[in-house]
Amino acid sequence: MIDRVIKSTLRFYAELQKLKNTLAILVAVALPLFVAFLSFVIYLSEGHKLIIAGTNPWHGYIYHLQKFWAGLLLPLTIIIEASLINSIEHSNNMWKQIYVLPVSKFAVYFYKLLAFIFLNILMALSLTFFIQLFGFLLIFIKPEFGFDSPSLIKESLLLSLKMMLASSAIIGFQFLLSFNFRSFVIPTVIGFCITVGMGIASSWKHIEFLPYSYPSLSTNSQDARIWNTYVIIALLSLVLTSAAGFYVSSKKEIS
Amino acid sequence: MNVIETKSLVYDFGSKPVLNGIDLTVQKGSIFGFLGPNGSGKTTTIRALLGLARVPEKSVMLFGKDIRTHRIEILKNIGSLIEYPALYNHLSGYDNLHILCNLTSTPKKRIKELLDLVLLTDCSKKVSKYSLGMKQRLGIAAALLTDPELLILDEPTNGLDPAGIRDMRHLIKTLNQDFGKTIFISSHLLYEVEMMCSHLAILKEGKLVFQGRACELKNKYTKLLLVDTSDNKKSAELIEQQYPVKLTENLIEAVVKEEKDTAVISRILFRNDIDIYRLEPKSQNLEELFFNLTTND
Repeated sequence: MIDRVIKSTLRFYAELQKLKNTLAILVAVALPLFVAFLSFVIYLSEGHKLIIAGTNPWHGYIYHLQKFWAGLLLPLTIIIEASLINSIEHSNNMWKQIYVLPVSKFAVYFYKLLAFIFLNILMALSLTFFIQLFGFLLIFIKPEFGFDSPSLIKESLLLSLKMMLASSAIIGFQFLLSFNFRSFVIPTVIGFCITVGMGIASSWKHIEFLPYSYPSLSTNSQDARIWNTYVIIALLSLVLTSAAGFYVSSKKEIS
Repeated sequence: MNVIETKSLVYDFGSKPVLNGIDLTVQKGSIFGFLGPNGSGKTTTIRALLGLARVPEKSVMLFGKDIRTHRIEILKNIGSLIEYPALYNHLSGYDNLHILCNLTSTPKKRIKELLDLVLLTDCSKKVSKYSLGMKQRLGIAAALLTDPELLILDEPTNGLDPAGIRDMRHLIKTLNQDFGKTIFISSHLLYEVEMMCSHLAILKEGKLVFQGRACELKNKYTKLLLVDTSDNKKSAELIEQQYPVKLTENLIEAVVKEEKDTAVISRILFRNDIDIYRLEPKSQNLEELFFNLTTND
């Protein structure tokens, strides 16, 4: 049992080692930083219009930033990250090295998917961290905004986590696409088209049937609870796409 | 004991057959050369041996086990290098081996042993800055990581300069002689195969046209006998009665099959009072034999 845990940990660690010197980690940290900084700049210049007097400014600050993140940037970042993490293997046809190792084909897919989910968790944590960081900077730069109120770090973290869970369907599907297509362009374009399509169809009455809209829909309610229908369906979609991925991996032929 | 055994191995690309019933047998401890012109199916055969191509059950047996049903067990005993080494160019050579150690649960101390063995001392810089020779050596180190019994090397000298080829040849011989590895090596460099391999197989259009010891190949196929006498024209006429002959300006080239044919020709000339200045069997080298076997007439 202990031996299995050690082996699993080492395999997961190996997947993380592959990310060294790549854009994958940089993107996971830099994009949340960029969005939080953008929001910070907007609050610096237009904060007096955005803050409702007598309320905790953190509430609107966190909610509006994360809503923007969930609607557009989160799906796009997942799409790019999925392509980046799989391109590590596609370049130089690393698959032929991976698939001749005495490792099950199931494990090849599973540990890479796990590393991808880790990147998404890192993104959610980075977003929360930078929201808090810039919020605290506002205390000193714009004390009149009232950011010295409770910073709602728990709510912010839960909202980030909820968005991440609600994006599980995107995570599963984009990973499956990028795992299969050697070209960086095909899965990225497919993902971009679906995301833009979701944006256009956001007011469509059946939008709830389209999992790419779940990160955005899950933030509609400011309810701090993590579990809602979108999150559960998204997680089920991740399970289904992963099962498809395991099947594809087991049948994969390497040229 | 046979390390590799394929039984009527077939493989198709869509409707196009690539391998047409290959029966390969590779014995433990041998250096087995796998020859064939481009497109003959060498790399596909190697992919089948490593489980990278889907083949019928029981058509590929390694260590007596079917690759379809005992894939992981078999791969624990195989190291491979397919064409150009597959490496993470954005990482150092050490990191590349460390990742493979973690994926295969191999102790980290093995890295240093292997780097010493393949004479790769500077492994801290990114692989993208390595020369092809260094990459090939790192690829061999990666293949040896789990201390496998069998090494499958597909064109390991591809793109190497003469010094790199010599080093690679030396390394392969060392691995076979000092470490007891069975080595299956495909190459289009016939001279290399001739220098290294104890056994070989020749593939043509997805079919084996020869399999056996390198010396058997030479003995099996025709040799030339170079003859120079006091009267080459008359000698040629006499020899031609029994053997195909080609008369050049200064020499007669007689096509013979066995060693005793030299004695027969010698007697013919002696009986006809012709002085013999030269009677020299000339074996075809592997390259000539290879082309004879793989070229369509």
